[in-house]
Amino acid sequence: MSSGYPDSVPPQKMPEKMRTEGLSAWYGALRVLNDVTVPIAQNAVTAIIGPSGAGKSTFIRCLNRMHEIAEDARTEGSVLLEGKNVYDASVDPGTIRRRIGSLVQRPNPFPTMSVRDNVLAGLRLNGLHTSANDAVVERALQQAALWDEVKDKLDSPGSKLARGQQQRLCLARCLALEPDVLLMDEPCSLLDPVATTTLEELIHELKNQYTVVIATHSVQQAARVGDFTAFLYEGELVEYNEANVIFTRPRDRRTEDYITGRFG
Amino acid sequence: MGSDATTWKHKEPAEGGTGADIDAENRGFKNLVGAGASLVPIAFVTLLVWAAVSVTQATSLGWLGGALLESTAVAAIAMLLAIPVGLGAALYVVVFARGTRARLASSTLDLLAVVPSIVWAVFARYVIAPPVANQPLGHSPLWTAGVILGFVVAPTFASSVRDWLVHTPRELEESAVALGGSRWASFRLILLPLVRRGLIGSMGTAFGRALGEAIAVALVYIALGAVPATLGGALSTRHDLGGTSAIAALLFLVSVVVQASARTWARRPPAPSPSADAGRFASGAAAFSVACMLAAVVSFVVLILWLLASSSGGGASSLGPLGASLSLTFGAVLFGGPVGFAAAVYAVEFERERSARVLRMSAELLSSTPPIVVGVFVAVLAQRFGVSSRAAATVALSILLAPSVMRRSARAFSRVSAATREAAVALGASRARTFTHVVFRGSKRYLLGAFLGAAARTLGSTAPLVLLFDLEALPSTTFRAAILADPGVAARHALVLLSATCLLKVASLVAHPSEVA
Repeated sequence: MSSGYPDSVPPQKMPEKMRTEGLSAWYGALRVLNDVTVPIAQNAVTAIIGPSGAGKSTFIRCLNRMHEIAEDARTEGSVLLEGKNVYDASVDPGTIRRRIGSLVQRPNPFPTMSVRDNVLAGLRLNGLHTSANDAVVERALQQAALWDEVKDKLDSPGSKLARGQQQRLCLARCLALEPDVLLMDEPCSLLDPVATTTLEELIHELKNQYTVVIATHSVQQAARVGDFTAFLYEGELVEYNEANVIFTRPRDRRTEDYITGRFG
Repeated sequence: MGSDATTWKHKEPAEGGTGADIDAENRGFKNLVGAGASLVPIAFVTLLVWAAVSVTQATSLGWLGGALLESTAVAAIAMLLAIPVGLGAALYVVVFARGTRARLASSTLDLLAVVPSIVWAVFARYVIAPPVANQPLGHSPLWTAGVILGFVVAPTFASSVRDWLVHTPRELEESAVALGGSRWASFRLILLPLVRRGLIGSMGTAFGRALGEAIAVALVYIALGAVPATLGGALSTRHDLGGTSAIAALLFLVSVVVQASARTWARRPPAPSPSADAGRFASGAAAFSVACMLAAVVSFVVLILWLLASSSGGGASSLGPLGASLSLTFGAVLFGGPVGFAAAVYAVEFERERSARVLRMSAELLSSTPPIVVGVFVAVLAQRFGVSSRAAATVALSILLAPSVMRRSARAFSRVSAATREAAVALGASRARTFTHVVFRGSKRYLLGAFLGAAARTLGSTAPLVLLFDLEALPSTTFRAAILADPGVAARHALVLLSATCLLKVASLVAHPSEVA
């Protein structure tokens, strides 16, 4: 089916929202990503899989310029968002991070803020004013499938919610900024199975409106939620393709070994 | 503790009574560290009782009130200077500077914070005061004293604010940045509400310190003939220990009340977060913080240059007073060190007990008590019971050192996570063994830094004590006379004391670098 294409350029039915071109990343002298080129399709879920230390988190953090806030961190290559390099000198990192929301492993609602203020935190952090705060809160919480659970306790502290709810609150916090892309770095690895299922179903919904990139060390999760899959190993891209191709007919031996559980 | 551990080692695990053994051993451990730790609240309560008694016994209440008013005014002026500058400098270190620059700025704050108040007082006596005194409008001693105190208090305030900010969870700041916020916005909307309580506590502590140090500054100021009238009047007759102790006691009580109320006030829930736009002040705040940090660095450099320039030339050796200060500090480390260590163990290991809360509270209040107050207290006791003044000074310094060692050691212990601790307990270890094998080993390399840091601070505190009392075997009278009479000698003494203090502090920073990214 894809025999006519080079390894990292598979057929795509959807337009490309983002793309990394020869992306490399360092912490000091340690190279954690090596020349990674991955397209990210619009309104689809791209799953990044690979064993611990493969560079999944760094890849995700490079996409919204969060990698650079670490001391001694450095990148090379480019990350294109709608064809424009987010690392261009003229680009404001704050704007990029607003357009590319991110969710991390450990749910971290702001502890001094209520549920409502947590949702609005992104707007306030960016100095954005709106007269329709209540509407923003309701819309974001609805999209994060949290509204029904918290609508009566909007003024209670966000940190009092259950862990799975906290994670969806963090998602609502991103959604309030109306981003284009959502990055998720192992968003379920600290959640229980029920909360994981809820979030995975939510990801299915979200891709209708957003472009989603999710890093996960769970091959099953990647198979469940991903439309496209990139397999990273020791900082290099081993294989990228549509999810069903990766999981049924992987081209590289290492990919096959990984997804069948022979290592990692 | 040692013998308990040995008994445990030789017990047969198969006896079936191991649970009871662990309980007994835990009790023994708790009693042992508890006994040492209890000295901290005991010292604090004794100090409180003495202060209350001294104040009620004071003969002239009007005079005492006047002295209190003047000290409060001086401390308020100091705070006016210290709060913005301290906040700005802390902001620079934590929010606006990165990497090497942040580390350098942070170390400068640490060094400035251990500059003994006496050194600033000498500097002010010869550099700041003369031009001010010659102004046509005349000068107010209150203002000059306030400014000197500002120099003393600002770096201490800045470094405690920095410590609060640095210990906030990194990931919260990161998620604020990931949402597109600037560092200033993340600070204002996320970090600031988190440390609000600590900030108010730090302000209370700084104010308490300023109140007490007012006495130390006044002491040096006497020679100018320009001390606030009533306060100076009491102190210039140096042998009027009764008057001095009444003032010291009153200032101590007031500073305890100020700090306690600051803490209570800070415990109220924070107001709803403001929705004002966060970016507007960012550049202004950055410029302000850079300016404050520059001011701090410049004042430090000017101080050192002046000391170097004026200390040249002949005269008496400065090593005598330094030797005395060092030997007093050593004595304090010997007595106060173990007490502070035991207190830290108790506070960390039995964190949830009510007694640990009492311990923490009294240690915090004690650590912000100015050296001079403790000094006067011990001097009164020494006079009444005929103890040698040297022993009295060692006790005074031990009281100052113990809470400092405690705070720093407790921070070192907290480097070992609760999960690691629990893992050891889950393997069947007693609390004593968990402590000696897991917590102590894990934090050992930070402990040296903790002790050195506390010693540096104590060494700085020796000077006012040496000044205030005729310590037998200490060349205090000559030292005192020399400081007040001759700028060269004063500068030399101050330089030697400052170098020794800074050396100790640098050693402690090397052993236990501050955690600024």
